[in-house]
Amino acid sequence: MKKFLSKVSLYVLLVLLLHVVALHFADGNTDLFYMRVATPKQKSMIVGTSTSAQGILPAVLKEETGQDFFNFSFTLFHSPYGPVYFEAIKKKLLPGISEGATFLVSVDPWSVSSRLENPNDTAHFRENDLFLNNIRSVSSNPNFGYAYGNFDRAWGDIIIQHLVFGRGKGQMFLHDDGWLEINVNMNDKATEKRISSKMEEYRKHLKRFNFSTVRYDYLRKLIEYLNTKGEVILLRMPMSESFQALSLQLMPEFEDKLKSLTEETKTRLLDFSNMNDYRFTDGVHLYKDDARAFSVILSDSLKAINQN
Amino acid sequence: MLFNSIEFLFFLPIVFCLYWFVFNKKVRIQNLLILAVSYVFYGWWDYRFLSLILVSSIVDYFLGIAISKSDKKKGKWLLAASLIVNLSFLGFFKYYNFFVESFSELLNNMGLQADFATLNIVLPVGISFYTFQTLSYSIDIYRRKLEPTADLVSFMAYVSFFPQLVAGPIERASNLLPQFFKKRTFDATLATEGMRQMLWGFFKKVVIADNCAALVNDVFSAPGDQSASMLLVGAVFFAFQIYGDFSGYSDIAIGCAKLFGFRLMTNFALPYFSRDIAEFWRRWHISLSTWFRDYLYIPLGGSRGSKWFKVRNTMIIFLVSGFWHGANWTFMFWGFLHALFFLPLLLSNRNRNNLGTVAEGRMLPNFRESFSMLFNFILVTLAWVYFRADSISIANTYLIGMVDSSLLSMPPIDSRAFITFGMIGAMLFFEWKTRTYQFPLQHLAEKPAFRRRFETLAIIMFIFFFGVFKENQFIYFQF
Repeated sequence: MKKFLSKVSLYVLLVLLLHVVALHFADGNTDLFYMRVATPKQKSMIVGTSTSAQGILPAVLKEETGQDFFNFSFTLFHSPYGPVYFEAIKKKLLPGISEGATFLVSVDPWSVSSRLENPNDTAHFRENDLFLNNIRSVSSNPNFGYAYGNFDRAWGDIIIQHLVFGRGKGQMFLHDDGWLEINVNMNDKATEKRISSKMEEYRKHLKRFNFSTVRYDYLRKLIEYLNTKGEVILLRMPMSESFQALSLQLMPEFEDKLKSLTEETKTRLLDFSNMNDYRFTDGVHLYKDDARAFSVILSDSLKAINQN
Repeated sequence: MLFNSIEFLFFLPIVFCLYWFVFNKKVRIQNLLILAVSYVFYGWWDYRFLSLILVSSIVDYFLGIAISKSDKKKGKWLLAASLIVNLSFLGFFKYYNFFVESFSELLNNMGLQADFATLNIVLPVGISFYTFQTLSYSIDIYRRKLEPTADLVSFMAYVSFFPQLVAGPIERASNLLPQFFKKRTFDATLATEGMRQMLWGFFKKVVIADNCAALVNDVFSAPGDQSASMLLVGAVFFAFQIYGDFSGYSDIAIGCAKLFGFRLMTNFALPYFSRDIAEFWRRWHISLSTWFRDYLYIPLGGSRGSKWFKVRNTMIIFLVSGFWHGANWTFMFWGFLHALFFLPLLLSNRNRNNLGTVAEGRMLPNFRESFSMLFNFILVTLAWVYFRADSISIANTYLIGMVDSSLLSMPPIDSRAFITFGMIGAMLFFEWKTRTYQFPLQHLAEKPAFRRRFETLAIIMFIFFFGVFKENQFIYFQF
């Protein structure tokens, strides 16, 4: 028994060591989310879905406004407004903040809608089975809780990706500040194909998504909570015309709802939804260079707010 | 909990230590621990499932004793009661909605308005497996092949034994139950073999099956959008996904049981090296195919009697086998196809031609064996398309799509798929080289220390570099 246990223990230790080594190499090439949950707790944050995840560069905001931001946006499936995302944001926040922070809360009709017959059925919300609801910590480095059970690739791949690609050279790179850089071919043919595919995807969503009062309430709850930590600014990201039209089809009354929300919670709204002369990788997500340019515009708006 | 989960990583060593260091004084205490941890394991899925397995166990325990004390006539009624109880649970949880929806569709097709309500029924994990396990107990007692046990704890531990509870092997009481009556003492050789078998099982599951899964899901979700060559890749990858998944689980289950001193039956014996369909069914999901042979095929008359009789019995077996897999016409059609493949062999008395190991004593197969294995693999893979597709029409679209000039074009696969191909090739090579063993790493017991360590480390590194650890469920859990 002793010999058996000692041999097994050696192999187990080796395996654990390999995992620790692998996570040591984890970086923005690892996957779309790891670096967001393996970075320290934050003060000022950007929250929302993939439009803000790819569309806002905290590095540019820092350069322009002097303020540190962390982009804690995920995807339409991981971070629509609801109990899971609310708890995750709370966990990511530095404890003890009572003022001085700024929160950019990106909103659109999809992030307050559910893909369920009963859109308020919290037990079956789409994010329930995803990692934000099953990891304890969103600020551990290394984050074993995320790594075990949420990587959809091999652990050895983490090392390979790090060694092969380096920073920002792969198809995607998640920066330490949470900005997701996507490198795609922006020639007309490739872009048209992606737009067409995305449009088909959103048309399917349109048939199934319905406005959720529960999600809307959680958005309000989040704003009220963040208001106790600093200033909250609601944000509507730029989107191409055709997708903007689809969003309005989902919720024609969205603008009115947003207006009443800003009044109730006394928050500002920066509405860039009609700024559609940017380049989008797929009609929804800003291309990285255009995200940079947009971040400058956003910074100007933030500076103007601060001056007032 | 899944074998490839963090919970199991903690569960197994804790149970191992408790079993061998704390609860090892008496056999009854060992069995009590097995029973308790098995219920914890099963209840981890959903605690409500426990009531079913508890009722099933208690019913068959008491019926088993009653059957053994009864004459043939009364015994028949008691056996019928066991069959009714167990199959009713299975039928309701697994097939109720299927029958309701199929019946509604039939009436609607006949022009009659019908819209019966389906229920939101959660399928208890492993119900198809443990139901068959308890049924074999009752039937063997009725046939006087087995004495019932008065030891309720042992019996319940046999039914719920966690390594094989949720996806087999479907153990016969005559094999597994007696092992609960003897105190298990630690056997380092058996435990080491168990660890090696688990390692091999994990390799097949997380390296082969879960890497194939990504491409298979993409291809099968939109077969109409794929080139013929991509459809071919999808079908081949599914053949290896289901093999890696199911045989991998079996290896983990059998290996895990060895850690606790139990020997389970072999469930897979290199089925893709089969030279014909009959051999395939002697090597694929052996515990199920032998169960159907012993409890359905032979009682129906087997292959004795007229040609029509043989055809009828073969059809019944394969259709029921298909149906066992799930409440969908695709599974029945899959079973039907295998019946069509099998019948020519049976009717020409060639179904027992290939009983030994292929190319035994030789390094390579000859041309005839190679052709036979390839041809059989093609037949099996084509049938798998029906098994995997959501409907028969989608499967038909899939197969028709493969008949196209784009079959000769290079499929648009990424580097991950290439690597997966490489891993499949490596697995087949390794399995071929060690085909006389129960599982490839079993041969390490005869090798020098350096070779043992090298191959073990190599498998670990393959798992580390190429294994997917996202908690992908084992395919056969849905059965």
